[in-house]
Amino acid sequence: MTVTHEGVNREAVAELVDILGTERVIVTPQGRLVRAMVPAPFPFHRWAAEAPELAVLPETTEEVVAIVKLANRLRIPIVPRAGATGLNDGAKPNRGGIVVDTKRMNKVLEVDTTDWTVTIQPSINMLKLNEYLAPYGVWYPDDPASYPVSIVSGRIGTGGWSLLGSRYGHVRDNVISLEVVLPTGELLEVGQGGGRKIRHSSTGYRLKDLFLGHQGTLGIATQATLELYPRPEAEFPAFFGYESFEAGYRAMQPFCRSNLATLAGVILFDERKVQYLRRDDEAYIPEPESLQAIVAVAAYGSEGEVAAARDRLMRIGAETGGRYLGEELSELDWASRHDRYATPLHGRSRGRAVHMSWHCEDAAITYSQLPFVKQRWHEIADRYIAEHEVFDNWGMFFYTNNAYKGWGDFLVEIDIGIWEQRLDEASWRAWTDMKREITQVSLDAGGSISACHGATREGEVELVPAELGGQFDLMLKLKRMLDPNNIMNPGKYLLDQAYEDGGG
Amino acid sequence: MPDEDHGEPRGTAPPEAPAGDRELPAGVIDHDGHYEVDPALMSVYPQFATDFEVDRIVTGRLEYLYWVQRHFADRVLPPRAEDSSQ
Repeated sequence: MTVTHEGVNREAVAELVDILGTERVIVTPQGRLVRAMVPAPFPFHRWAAEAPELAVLPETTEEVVAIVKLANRLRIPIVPRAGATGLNDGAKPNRGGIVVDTKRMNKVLEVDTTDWTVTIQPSINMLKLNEYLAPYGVWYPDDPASYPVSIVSGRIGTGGWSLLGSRYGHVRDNVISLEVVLPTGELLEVGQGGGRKIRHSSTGYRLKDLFLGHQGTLGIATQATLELYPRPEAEFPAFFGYESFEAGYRAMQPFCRSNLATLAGVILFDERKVQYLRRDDEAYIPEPESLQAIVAVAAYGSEGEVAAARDRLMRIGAETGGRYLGEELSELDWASRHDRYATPLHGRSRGRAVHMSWHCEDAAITYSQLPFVKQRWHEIADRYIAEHEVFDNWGMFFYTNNAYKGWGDFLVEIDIGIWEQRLDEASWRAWTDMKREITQVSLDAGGSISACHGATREGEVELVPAELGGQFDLMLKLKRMLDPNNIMNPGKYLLDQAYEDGGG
Repeated sequence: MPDEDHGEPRGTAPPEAPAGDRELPAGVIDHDGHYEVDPALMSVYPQFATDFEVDRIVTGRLEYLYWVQRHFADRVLPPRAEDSSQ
């Protein structure tokens, strides 16, 4: 079986205008080009080739159904796009077609203070949602680095990870049920069994997870029912300095296994991250050279519980040889945890300060393998930096990854600055080669390519079948079954293989 | 240049643009048709700023951080129990 796609023709535009009106059908070059971009490293030299043919701005489920049915009938590629703040490229078209920009679907439909759920049109920003929820004394705790700018539907599409996940879970844990428009235009309600507000069920297959993290390849979420929590009375963040990476690495275990229910996260900064901060962050410039690693911890909950956790965390810091870095740094650096995503960045190239954008790898790796991965990733990054002036090494973070528990596996992040203005085909090739080597190390360590962003980009997606094995074959079968014409975000995750002869 | 309202300038002022390039303000470059701040200025430390600008940046930064923090909890506990009443 071979699937061919069609371009957006006059018939399609006329039908879309009938569905949405002229204002919400975007055909201008500016409107199309801006919807080709994602904040992950972007090949600007290929920008025009990766733009959609048009973009649409639906406001209701019915409009999304009509758009998808039209695209499926006319075989036009369709790409769901939420905030487009993800550090993968799920929201970027690979085959032109129609971008369905869902940002206008941002209404709160119901706050249920009896069964403790909130039902939304999912393209609402988490910060805005929590401002809406605050008068009710409740809270939706999803906290990515992009918290001030990303929106719930994008978090659904990527199956995102939360900085507070060890206390409150991640996106998969806090989306109770979904309404999804499938690639054929059918509307599906999917959750834990049948009830929209049921948190656990043993009826049938657990299909909800299929629609969390599919990178826009299986449908468009038009409604979501989310978990609510009591708003925390208190927070306690603390940063401890260590004289070596090894000391910080060892110290993580007592923090992670502290048996504190309020512990939301433990983060290790390696010596390269500390060097980077001491180089370019005024809060760290005065820190002495003896500071070579940092362990940051944060607890949330009722005031009494957090006060007790505070005392234990401070004791563990002292017992593991950590130097408390002070109330101001602890409180404010934790408060600025989202800024590494949102603020303009710069890096160094051959000692010179230049504009750079941020790329971060986000593998899931078990605790025992962290030193191996750290050593190999830095070796790879430094080798490419020696050869190419467009890269800079901003060090590594290790975050607790296990939902509701602080132990086990970690989100491992290496931050690479990329001088995008200087990217050309040769340096882009170097970049994807570097990514591929980094990704292979994650697999060699028995890990997963991505704990948070997804793995659809060149340089990593080639290794997805190696990671998933037979699960990838099942992905192909599911894709072909749910999307018989391959219209939903075609070209992502190597899923075109489902439509090749013998595929799927 | 002292400024009674805005305090003493700190750091090093951007170089004056050459007379022939007056159409672009100093410190701005034309990069393939896009105007942007000259990346070379980022290597200047400390950056050129008046007391007023420094205060405005620091105050704005703190206001922002406390504003974000209020989205997550009612209060932040100090590191020692004896300071909790402060």
